[in-house]
Amino acid sequence: MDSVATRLTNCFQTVFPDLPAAQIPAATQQSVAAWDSTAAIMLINVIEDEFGLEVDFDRLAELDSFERICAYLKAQQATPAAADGSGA
Amino acid sequence: MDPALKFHHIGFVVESIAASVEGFVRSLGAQWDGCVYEDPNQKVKVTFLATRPGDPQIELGEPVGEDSPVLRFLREKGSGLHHVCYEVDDLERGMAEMKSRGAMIARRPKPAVAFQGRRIAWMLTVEKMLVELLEISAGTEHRPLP
Repeated sequence: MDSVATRLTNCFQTVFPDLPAAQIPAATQQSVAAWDSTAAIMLINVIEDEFGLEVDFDRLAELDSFERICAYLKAQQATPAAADGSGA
Repeated sequence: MDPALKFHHIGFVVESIAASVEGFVRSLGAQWDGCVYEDPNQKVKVTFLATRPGDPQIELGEPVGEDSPVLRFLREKGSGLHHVCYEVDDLERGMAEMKSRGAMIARRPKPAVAFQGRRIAWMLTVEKMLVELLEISAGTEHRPLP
């Protein structure tokens, strides 16, 4: 598991403490009952703190799985200027 | 209560404003000006009901589009109370003060069509209460009541 995935796993463990670690890489909003709209906001805030970036909340609907969030974070890290969601 | 927060409205999510507004008017004896605002930033349609002059208003919100955050709420919880809205003099300061009390950002500031472009932001308190902060602009502290 790469660094982004490891750090993202920690974020998931913070927001979903009852989710077994082995299930986190495959986690989706459909598979995790606790991943409701409130948890989604909490998860984004934890991710922002962990990665030191601002996530565009308009993209919340598409950030619906561990895999997609991980890809989003890697893309943001590749283009740091895009990490600031305030311009959206 | 933070004296910087001025209660403005409560938000109630509905599937359809057109189908439900008359019921709210009847149930609350409220007044409705017939204005429905569609906000592409917030991905909602909203309208406002007023009861006693000077009292906070009731906002009905209807999702617009599959990626509307309100649609997700509607699917999870059905029609119901969604948020409370407070006016603040300084939006960034209001957000910072709420963050200092443990609240999280749910949406960053954006202009709102229903408030003539005044900016709103969304916060989620520790108690999971969704709070809309509405920036006060000179002369527009409250919408005129019908």
